[in-house]
Amino acid sequence: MRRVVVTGIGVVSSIGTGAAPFAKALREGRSGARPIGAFDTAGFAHATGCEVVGFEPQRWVRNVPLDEVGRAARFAIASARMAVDDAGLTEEELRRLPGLVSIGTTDGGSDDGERLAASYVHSGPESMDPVAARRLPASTLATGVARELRLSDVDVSTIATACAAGNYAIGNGFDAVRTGEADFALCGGADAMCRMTFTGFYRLGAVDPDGCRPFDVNRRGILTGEGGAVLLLEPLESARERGARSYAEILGYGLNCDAHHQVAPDGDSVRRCMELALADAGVEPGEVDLISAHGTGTKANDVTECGAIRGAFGDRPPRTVSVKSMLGHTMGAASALGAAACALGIEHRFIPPTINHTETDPDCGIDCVPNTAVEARLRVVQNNALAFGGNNAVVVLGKR
Amino acid sequence: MGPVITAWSAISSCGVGRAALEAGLVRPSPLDDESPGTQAFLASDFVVREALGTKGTGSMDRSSALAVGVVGELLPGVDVDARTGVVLGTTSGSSQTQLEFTRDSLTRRKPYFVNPASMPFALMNSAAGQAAIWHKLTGPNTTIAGGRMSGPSVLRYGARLLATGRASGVVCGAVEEYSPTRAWLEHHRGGTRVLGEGAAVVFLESAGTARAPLAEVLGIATRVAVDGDPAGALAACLHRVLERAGAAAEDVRTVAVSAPEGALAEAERTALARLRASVVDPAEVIGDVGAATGPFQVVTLLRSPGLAVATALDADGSVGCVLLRVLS
Repeated sequence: MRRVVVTGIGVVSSIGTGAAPFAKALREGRSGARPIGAFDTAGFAHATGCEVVGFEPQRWVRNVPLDEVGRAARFAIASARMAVDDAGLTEEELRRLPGLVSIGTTDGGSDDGERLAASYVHSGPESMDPVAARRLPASTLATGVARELRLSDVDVSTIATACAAGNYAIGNGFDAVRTGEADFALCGGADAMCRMTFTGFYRLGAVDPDGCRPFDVNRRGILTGEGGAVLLLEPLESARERGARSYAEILGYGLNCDAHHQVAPDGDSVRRCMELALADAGVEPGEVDLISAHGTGTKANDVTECGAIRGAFGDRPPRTVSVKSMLGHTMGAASALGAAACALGIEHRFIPPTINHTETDPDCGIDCVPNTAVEARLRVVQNNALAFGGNNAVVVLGKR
Repeated sequence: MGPVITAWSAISSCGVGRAALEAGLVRPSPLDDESPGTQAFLASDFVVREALGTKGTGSMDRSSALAVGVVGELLPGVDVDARTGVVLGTTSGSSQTQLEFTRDSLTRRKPYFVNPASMPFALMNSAAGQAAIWHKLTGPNTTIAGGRMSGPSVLRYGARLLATGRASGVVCGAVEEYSPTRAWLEHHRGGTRVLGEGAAVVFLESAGTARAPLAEVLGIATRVAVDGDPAGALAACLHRVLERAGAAAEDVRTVAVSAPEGALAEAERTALARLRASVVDPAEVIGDVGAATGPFQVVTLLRSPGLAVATALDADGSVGCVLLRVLS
């Protein structure tokens, strides 16, 4: 089995686009929250979200016709292009290698799907836009990346495991490179703001009117967000040979399923997933310096997740932060953005803070690094992701 | 040695379970809903409340119910433990559930007067998640939005889970609903074929531990036709799996085609021109089952001993094939 390192990071987010601006925003504890403009919010008492503004898709989507890829696919393509550039590689070099493109998503083309549904409802199904119908399938997220970068010899997959999908995709890339099936992997996640997710969480009373405040005693839920993040993974050996910078090594990951409840996470199962990941990484709980939590900011998630963390790590768990406090819940992109934040924290020696924090919920009982980043030399970092359907995925990154 | 298939099951217009598909009765049903077409291959024998009972199925949609049902048909024949995984392919999840959720939001007195219980079903991972919840399968649980590439995609992903020890065995397959919303989307994409609904799954295990394999998965290859030549890309995939298996084109005895629409169908024929195999098209029996096409190709091949190939092409540019050695 080969060792696998992250040599390129591409990010589209509400707080910064590109690895360096994203790292700066994380360090500053910037908030991406603003009034939602992606869809009509009339009738909702509040509608704050973490939208990407000023995104210029034509900067990144140059080969694939723009009308063949929806907003989430554009985020994926942009992130992948940035990751390749950031790794100091060219598309020509990648084309010569067997590779993998794996993009996680919750909603895929649901923003298009909702516009098609509106046509269906208001003007009849005959009036739906055929161009949008063709680009709707979520498979276009991963194949869009391959088409844009002209990569033909790649294993492409769009992984649709809801809010844990980014970590799933990274794990998939890690395994393909580790086993020698692929010599590089472009893996991460992307999602665009959509009405369905917002409406569903709103209906459940799980959207915070103001800001996302994970682990806070006054937290009131998620903010929906959007964005994309892609990591370029390659074998440690090839990275060394070409003198590439490694942000971090992927040490291992774990996957399991609660098989218990569609929307309520099961603490024991989440703990087991963390244990699987640590065992896969060959790491003892005491060696973990930081947990990047799923940390949605809902009452239920944060208590359950922190309980699972204490179950795996004991009563003095590592510092546990939620970048969703800054980015909102970017769904399938969330754990990819979290993994990118972990890799950047390892490389630049800081811990991103949990912002909007006033008072830690005693039922959470963790040090969430409130409001201000801290300098730290991180050796092992764990990135958590939980999802509806009981889909858990935990990725462990580090520097050895 | 690659992984092996040790069990399978299916639900389709032919009925529920293996024997029904093997009997292969062609029964398209007339439609009287708002669909663009007049008939579809509906899995009418699968009645959710009869098959699964009333408990827990109240808000379950048909896609998830099909997944729960087909996995339930499969499991009695296989060994399940805490690391048994589920990997299902899909096109877009349940388009019908998504449309209905959005319709409620757009037409009711308040935009948030939606049924929160239907929200998780609107997500693409619902079918796999529900199958795991219903049957207590706690291993890796993955949904791949592979469209018509779902066959090669779920087998390769499942094989990787086995090779890395993440799963002890994997339920691999796909589900596709029939619904007016799916039919209209396919209509607007230029689809002209009679649609079907169905779910097919196989159980994938490592060769060393399996008791009674039905087939070995000798190879899976996929490419993205970035140059606009899907026939050439598919031919390259065929070449690769045969070469790696040390087999020649004429050794392939059976091909199950995916039979896509239009130019892709032509590309599939072109890529297969060198083969002298007998050709089967599951869609003739069960209709166009979208993402489930690949898994149905694979289970159809399991009745034809010898080397067998299933091909896949998606409108998004991806192509691929699976090479099996079906054991007699």
